Amino acid sequence: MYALHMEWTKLRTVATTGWWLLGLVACTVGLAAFVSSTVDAVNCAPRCDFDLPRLSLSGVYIGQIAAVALGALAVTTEYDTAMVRTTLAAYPRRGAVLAAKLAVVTVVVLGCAALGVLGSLAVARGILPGNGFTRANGYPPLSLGDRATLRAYLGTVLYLGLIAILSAGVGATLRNTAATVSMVLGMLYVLPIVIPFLPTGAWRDALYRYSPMSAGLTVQATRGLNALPIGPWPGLGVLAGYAGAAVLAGALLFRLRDA
Amino acid sequence: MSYQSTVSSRGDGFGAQLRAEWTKFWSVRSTKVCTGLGVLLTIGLSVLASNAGGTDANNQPPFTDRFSLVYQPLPGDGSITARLASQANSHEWAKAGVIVKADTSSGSTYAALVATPAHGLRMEAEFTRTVASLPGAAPTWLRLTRTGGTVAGYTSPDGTTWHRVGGVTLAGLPATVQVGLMVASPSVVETVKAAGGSDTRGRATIGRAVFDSVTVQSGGLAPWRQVDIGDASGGSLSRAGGAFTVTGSGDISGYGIASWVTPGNDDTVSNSLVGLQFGLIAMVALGIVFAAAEYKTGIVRTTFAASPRRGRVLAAKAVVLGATAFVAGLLASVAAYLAAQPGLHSNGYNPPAYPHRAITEPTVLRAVVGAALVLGVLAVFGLAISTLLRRSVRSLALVLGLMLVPQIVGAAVLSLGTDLWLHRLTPVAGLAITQTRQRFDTAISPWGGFGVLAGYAAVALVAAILAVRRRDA
Repeated sequence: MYALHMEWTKLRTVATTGWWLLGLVACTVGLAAFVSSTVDAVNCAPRCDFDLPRLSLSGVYIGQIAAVALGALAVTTEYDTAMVRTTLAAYPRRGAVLAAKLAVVTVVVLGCAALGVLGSLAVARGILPGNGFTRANGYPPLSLGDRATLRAYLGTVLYLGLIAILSAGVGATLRNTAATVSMVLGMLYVLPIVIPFLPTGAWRDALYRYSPMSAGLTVQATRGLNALPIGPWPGLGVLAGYAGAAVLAGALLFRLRDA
Repeated sequence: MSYQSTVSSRGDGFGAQLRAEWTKFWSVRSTKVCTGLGVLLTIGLSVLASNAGGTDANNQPPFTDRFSLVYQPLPGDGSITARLASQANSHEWAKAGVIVKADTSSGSTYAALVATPAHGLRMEAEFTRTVASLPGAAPTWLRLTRTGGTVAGYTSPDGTTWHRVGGVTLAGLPATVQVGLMVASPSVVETVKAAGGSDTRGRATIGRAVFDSVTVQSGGLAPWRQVDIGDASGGSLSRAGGAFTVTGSGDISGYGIASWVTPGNDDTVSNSLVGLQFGLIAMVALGIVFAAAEYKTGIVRTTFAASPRRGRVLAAKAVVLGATAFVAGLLASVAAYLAAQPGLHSNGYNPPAYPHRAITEPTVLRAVVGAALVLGVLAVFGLAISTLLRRSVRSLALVLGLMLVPQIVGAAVLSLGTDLWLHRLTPVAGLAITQTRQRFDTAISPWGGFGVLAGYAAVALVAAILAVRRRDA
């Protein structure tokens, strides 16, 4: 409990934390608004089977950068300032320190992710009907009452939490902010950029399944699930696997290494 | 009496500054690790991608033979002459002219002398040979003469003075061939992209041409008949007086003929350089770390105390960093390109659909060297942003966000139009320099795209130079 309080104070009193959290919410909602305003239910031939919940959640493509930064900073800032030595002198139980760090940053990111995702829902509900996504055209308004939609929204909140955990785990391993952020962004973005250029086939599907972002964001899919290389929850499970492995490596090194 | 410093000013020259920055760059572990990782990951990803799937383009038919033919038999030697009075501009590669064809089945050998709306007069044969191409358009006189196995083409502005265009010997030409008029007009290939996918489909165009003064020498007794060769559609013939109005769709071409559209439109060059996506992260990080490290450790104060002309310090940093990133990037892109070729070849990227392209070919060289230039410029962009923001995380989020997010969002959720604008307006445009093929998703010209990226970097660098001159370190 003491460790949690300690970590919460540290996170709360750093000026940049607030900006990153604000950035997470604002970027998620902002991109959702942009994407919602560019799609069109009328001039969409030949493919008009829009996955609207997923479209309305595309803000996560930017918002997750803030989650990466928050996760990394929660661990690495202490190394930049050598504060970690003070922390460990005051509270030598290293496992508890790392667990408290993870818990605090995850809860904070989950909270802001929920705000961002609900904001996305609100702007999408406001904008989409104006672009022809009406009940008459076969698009009932987005609603969390729909099971698949609820899965997409809840899954996206969890996705952002897992991204912060992954980043914090890598941060505990690398102990350097810039290296952590570059590495996690590389892990997340490179494969999803490359995959569309690859010929369709077994390799492409395998890369999709092993890419933390492609697999993880499958949880947003509400249509055409059979055509996807992995299911929604198993996909999020892949990301959880990466996050777990990163935390395990970080925790092990945190215990073994001198601070 | 004025005071004159006894300290030599030699140590303050730009050369010395460059050396100081190089020493700082190379004596830090993180910059070396970053550069090395960037090179290795670039090569690795290119090799991985080159093995990730194949193409069946070479299993597709190597020619197309579908057009509208107005014909009659020609026993033995003889000629077909016609004046092409007009041709509708239904497609830049629409064809209208005279033809000698072994028979009316699709795929039988032929020689044709045709006009096109945008590409002049062309004599083509056997789906593989462009016998001649010369400027010209309707109205013009056209003639093909068959002598044994040889077909010769002639044009004339007035029907009296004839100019020989070229001749071709056709293998397996039967004694009696079909001669006549042909009209073709290829489909327009349209790619429609909506959220989550794209579809490519052909929209047929109908060509239309008017001929008159049509004569067949040592034949001409049989009636004219019209047929759609292959699965062409929309062919028709209507005659009024001496005028033949012919419509038709399709094309008669193959590898070796300019109007041929090869099956498969992958850009093997830019695909070979796809590892650049890792390289760019490494080089942006390199630029950001190189600048941020000085602020983090406070060494920036020592640097500025030693050389107070701050703008020049930053310029020296940019030169050292840009040059190093370019050299490392060149190593990476050359190695990635060469290492990706065997994988592509074994996955079916072979001639004729995909000619093997040597790294010395000018467009390939542009892509490979351009990739290194992009990495050099991105490192400088990172340096400038990092100097402005003075914190590595913010700078990384901003620059990598600008380079990565548009690529994801554009492909995943946006319509093609918005996607293309994103690829023109953001620094992502710079990646266009690796493209060697005009495709539906080509947003900007190679050098134009590089210019956009360089513009971002230049503006950021100037802003950074102004900022360090004004700010406390």
